[in-house]
Amino acid sequence: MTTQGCAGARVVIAGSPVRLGSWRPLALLGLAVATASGCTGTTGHLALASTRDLDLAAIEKPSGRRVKGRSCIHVVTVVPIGMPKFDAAIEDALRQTGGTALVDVVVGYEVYDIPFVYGLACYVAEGEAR
Amino acid sequence: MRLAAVLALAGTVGCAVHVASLKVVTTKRIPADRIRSATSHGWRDGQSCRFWLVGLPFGLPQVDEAIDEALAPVGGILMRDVTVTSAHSVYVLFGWHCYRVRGEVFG
Repeated sequence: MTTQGCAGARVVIAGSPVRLGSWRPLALLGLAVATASGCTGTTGHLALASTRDLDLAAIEKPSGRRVKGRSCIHVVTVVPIGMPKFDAAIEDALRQTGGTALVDVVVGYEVYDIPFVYGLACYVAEGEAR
Repeated sequence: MRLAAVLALAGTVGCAVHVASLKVVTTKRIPADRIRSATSHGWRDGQSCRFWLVGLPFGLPQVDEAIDEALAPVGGILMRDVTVTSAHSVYVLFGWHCYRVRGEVFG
């Protein structure tokens, strides 16, 4: 005998009782993993960008270290908690070296998302710190 | 008909958010002495937009395109005190995503 039940109801399949409720967390986890997604994109290439007062002598230096900075926000269900800023991503990159400007900058974004559960959205700035 | 018009109007929304304030930005490699000698050509705006349909974007707007649009009319080489805004216009099933820049152009 087979009967169909609501979540948590007892279902009897071929005479043996199966508790549907015990599968529910596992099924939800599986659904979350299956629908999780991520994407990245590029939104600009800049020769020079700075959030600080520019030191012209510094940008004439032959080369600096290549660094990557991020500015991220959390998305809870569908509600973003704040807005990512790409000046904050540039500042994050500059903080790693103490430079005043980034040269050969690639500005992009990264989005990781479990639909209707949680997401992470970031601006990313990568460049050579001078 | 009236209901369709109300729904269309209700689905027409727009928003713009500030995404960056930059002291200096340029899209071209410039020697430092050229930056030192650059003079102001006033405050200018530029934008780069991409269309989307039913949630599918036809490319991404580019910040460098928006900057070049602000620089080009006056032959500028860099911008100072730049504000970058991300603007979304939504007309029910289609819309545009734009980056807009405003700053003082030097050249």
